[in-house]
Amino acid sequence: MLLSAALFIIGVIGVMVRRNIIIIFMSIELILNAVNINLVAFSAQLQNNVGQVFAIFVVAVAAAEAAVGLGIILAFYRNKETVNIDEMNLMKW
Amino acid sequence: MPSSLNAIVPMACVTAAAIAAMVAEAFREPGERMPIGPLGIIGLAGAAIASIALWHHNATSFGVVAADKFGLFVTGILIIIGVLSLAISAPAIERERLPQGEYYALMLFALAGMMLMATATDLLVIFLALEVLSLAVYVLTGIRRDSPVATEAAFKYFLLGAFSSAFFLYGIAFTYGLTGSTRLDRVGSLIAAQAMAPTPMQLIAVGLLIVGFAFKVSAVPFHMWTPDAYEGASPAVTGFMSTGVKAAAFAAFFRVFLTAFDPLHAVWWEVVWVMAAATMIVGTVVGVAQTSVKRMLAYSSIAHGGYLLVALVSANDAAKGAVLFYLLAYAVTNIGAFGVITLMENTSGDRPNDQIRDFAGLWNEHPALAALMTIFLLSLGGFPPTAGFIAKWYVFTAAVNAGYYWLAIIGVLTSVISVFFYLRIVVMMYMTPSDTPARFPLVPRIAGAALVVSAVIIVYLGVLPARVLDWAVASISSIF
Repeated sequence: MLLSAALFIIGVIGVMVRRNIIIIFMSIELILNAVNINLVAFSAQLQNNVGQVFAIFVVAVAAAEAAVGLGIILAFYRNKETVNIDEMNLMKW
Repeated sequence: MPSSLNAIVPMACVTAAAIAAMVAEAFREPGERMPIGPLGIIGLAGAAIASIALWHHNATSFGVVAADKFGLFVTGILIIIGVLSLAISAPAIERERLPQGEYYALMLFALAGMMLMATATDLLVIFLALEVLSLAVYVLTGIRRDSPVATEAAFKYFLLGAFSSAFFLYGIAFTYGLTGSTRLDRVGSLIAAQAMAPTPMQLIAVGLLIVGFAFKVSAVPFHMWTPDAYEGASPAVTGFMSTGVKAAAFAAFFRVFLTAFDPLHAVWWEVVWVMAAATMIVGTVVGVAQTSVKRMLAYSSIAHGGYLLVALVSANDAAKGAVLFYLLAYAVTNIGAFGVITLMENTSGDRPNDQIRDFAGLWNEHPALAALMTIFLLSLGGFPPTAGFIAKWYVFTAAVNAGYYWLAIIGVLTSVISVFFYLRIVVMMYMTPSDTPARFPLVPRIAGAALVVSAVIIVYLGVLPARVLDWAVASISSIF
């Protein structure tokens, strides 16, 4: 539980402060893994296997999300030649 | 067919159409034209027939998908959204040379996810449905791959969407830890059975789930992605995602918070109250300052999300019926408005034609389009006799009945302010002469028909709301 909370907080901070979109993306994956640890821990504590099944679903969804996300990052990089979010400034307000 | 599969027939039809669209695109000879759009319409028609057949049966599949009347009503709204979106997408696909097989397949997959989200009764299935629809919509946002604006919009949407899904998931994990189940009915009864004073873990679970849903329905302060994503995407896609995603997310939001977390209403209503008020105010006030029609409508859709949150806070019977009516009215209106913008963009010029001043002189050039846009804008602003007026009327009545007077007052005031920016476009269309004449496009027949249909639905709902409202009330009474 504590491990998962720590991972979650590291992930959230990573998303907030890092400027490189790949690292932000990795931070989001970190949060998803925090959720998985949480689910499995609860599952063991409650002697109930719903949590483990859920964790497998989360892994599958995270993989799909990574595929789509990297595709979008690639399309973005081809247009702008940068991976820095400070240069995403075509639209404001 | 085993009866346990009945409840998922509507989304199975749509998924089959999506797969068929993908296969058709893969086997298409270069240069060959294929009617992939009509394929989607066939799938949606199948879903509509299945939904009507299921209306009185209260079917459930595997205990996690319930085709109750609430879910089927939202499914019906989603089918209408799907048909109208497919119809107005055609000119955008032609003009931008988008890959039509992928476009339609993604739209249909997103619709299947939305239907699943509206009918799911298990947190795991709600999460999966949320991801199905989100992943499809992220890609649709960025489907104009060579446009820097579209890819930037898709990326921002993706990043914040994935971030919010993670919060949502963390909330589910705590709910599971709290109750040992992810089924909404069991979660609800177990939370009701636990001690009356809310424990920290309950608060964490509810808070994280609220954050997750608030991102999806773009409630303030989690609305930052909305204007960018709506501006960057092709307007036909924007019309689709501003209505479909919102309808599905609100359906799940209501189902989760009014069944599983209803025992904790005393805990979450204040948070949602503040969010509803902030959403209405920010959506309207920032909307006034916009010069792009798309961004203006993005803020308007944020404000409409606020009105729906008012109904969630009120949580009485009138509010629950009003929500479904509001979602329907908002869906046809907003798709209509974005359909007009799609047609406006459909010119040969390089500029997207989406500034408010680009609407100048539309009445002289194209009176029918101007008249339709007027109906949509008046309905968004809540003028009688349109659907928007009746919908807002019921939501605010519900808020007053539940004793939330301030929320109703804020709602009415922000509606009045919002009329200002809707009328600005109307004034532009009718009273300002155009500086560069003959920029306006011819209207393709199917898209034009879709716009007329949505205008007719708006006026019908505005003049004779009773029957649809009865359905809405009947469908809500079946679950809550």
